[in-house]
Amino acid sequence: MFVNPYKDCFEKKPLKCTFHTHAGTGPGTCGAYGIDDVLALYKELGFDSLCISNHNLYTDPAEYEKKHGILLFPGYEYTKWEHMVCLGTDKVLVPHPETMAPLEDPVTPYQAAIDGCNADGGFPILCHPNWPVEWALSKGFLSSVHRMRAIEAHNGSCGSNAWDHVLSGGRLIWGVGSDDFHRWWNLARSWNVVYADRDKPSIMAALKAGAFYASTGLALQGLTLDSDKISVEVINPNDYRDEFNFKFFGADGRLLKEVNEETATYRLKGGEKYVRVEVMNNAGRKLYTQPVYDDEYLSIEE
Amino acid sequence: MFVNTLQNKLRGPCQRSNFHIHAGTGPGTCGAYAIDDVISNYKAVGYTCLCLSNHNLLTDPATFDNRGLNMIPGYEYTSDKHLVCLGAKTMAFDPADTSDEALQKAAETCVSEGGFAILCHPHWPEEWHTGREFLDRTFGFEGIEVFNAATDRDVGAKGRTACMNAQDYLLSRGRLVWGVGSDDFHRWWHLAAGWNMIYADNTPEAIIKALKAGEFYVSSGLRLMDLSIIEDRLHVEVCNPSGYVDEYRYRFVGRHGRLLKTVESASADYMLCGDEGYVRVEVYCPGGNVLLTQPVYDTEFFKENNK
Repeated sequence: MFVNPYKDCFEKKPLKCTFHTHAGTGPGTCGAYGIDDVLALYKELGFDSLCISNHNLYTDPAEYEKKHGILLFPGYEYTKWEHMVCLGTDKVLVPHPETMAPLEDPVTPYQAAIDGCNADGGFPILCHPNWPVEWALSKGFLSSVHRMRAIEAHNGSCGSNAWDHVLSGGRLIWGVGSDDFHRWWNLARSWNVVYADRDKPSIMAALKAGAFYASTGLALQGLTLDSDKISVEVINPNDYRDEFNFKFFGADGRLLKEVNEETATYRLKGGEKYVRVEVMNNAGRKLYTQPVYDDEYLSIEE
Repeated sequence: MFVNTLQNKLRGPCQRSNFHIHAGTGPGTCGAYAIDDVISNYKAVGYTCLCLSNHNLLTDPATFDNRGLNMIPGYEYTSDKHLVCLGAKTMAFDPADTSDEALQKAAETCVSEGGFAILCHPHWPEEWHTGREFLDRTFGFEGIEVFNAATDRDVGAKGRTACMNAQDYLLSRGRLVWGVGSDDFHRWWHLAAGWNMIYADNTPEAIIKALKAGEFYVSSGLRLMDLSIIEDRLHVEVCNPSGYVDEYRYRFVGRHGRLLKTVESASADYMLCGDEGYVRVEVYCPGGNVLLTQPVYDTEFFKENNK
């Protein structure tokens, strides 16, 4: 049976969230600016929630949360060869450089970090699958790691190829939008709109349920599954009318249908496994929906 | 005959440029950050040529450290409508005069001083704010912002970033006006989001000459590899500067903004029929980065229609 993760979502107020932010100027932060400076700008831009995810470094968000009135998740970016945002954990599980020979078994410590994050009730997000080169998170690596909950569908560029690879193997993970903020020119370029109450447990539950979408500037108005018909409605949040390019993708990243209209529908033919939608306007602003999926084929890996 | 302003031009030096920047924290700057901070960031991200275009305030590049960048003087004429006067030497107008004639005079003065006047954000603060009737009766500018990256980014903003339809409106009436990309930088979240790649040496004179000749394109992240006409075939090829292979969506657009052809591929061809008047190309990559070419244009169409 096909499941729509957005069922019942649209009654909730959408929250603007980003989980991949490097800030602070101390050792290991990889940040270029003070945490207060960075948070003040995200706050001004209407972000409700954020995670300071420095490389292999936990940053205690308590004092900043209070000061800026923005919900701050604990977390860090696991950074060895492959990267991962471990959202919702304060335990950094990264092998010490001296205990590992270069290029020796990248999977085991990565898996330990995923499992540690999950054990803390967190949400592990595989990062930038196409950085620093295309398929940097190779198909072999993606098949070897388990129980991750999400992947960056957008981090400066599109990562849907790796996302489709995991989904096509029957494992349900969600697509996330990230700034991967290091410098000002990364600020507020892509984010997540999460349907949740404005508190951290509610946001975390919504992330795990796929009740969010990734955006670089478009807003989802509706995504419904009525019998075999998926309908998607998108608006430009600045109120003017646009014609959007809708692309419906299925297993193996196959383009199922393309529509250039204000709204779009797709009729399930059966056998799709999943259908997810990418939408773009003529300024290149995008939106990535989560997949509507066949629960006989796809499930969250336990 | 169709003219391609970039025919055989793509091998020369190319400057990454933005001419619409508000910087400095003094009166009239509308800037939020010190000039040196702003220039340093543009330099760090790879720009080679800039203009500080504060509202009704001419900023002399001799008064600050250019950090090795080519800084062209200029200002943003700011009344009911806005106009970047690139290369302007004087500001001789009454800011209280909001008439169309005042904007046209500012444009003409800028051009008479050897500058290049760019009509700004036609869809800000609302769609068609700089409307069709205004475009019909106002002259003097040689460029128009087809991509103003800031106008849809602020909280509560009501602008439209993509303004290619305003350029189409002018082109379709026989007015050859070039499309310009701008950050309209005020705040850090506007930085390096829409720019121009100009085929010219990096001097103010060479940049302005190339702008007037349409020897540039607009980008928010893609690079032009080829734009050529061989017999009747218009060929376009772009690449992702990050080095990986993408499939791009090429849209060939003609008179009145009519979509002539869409191609999803690494490169694209369009066979010119001869009656298009002009053809310009919009290119989109899967990540949403955009490239906008100038029109290849039919000299006869522009001669007949631009009375």
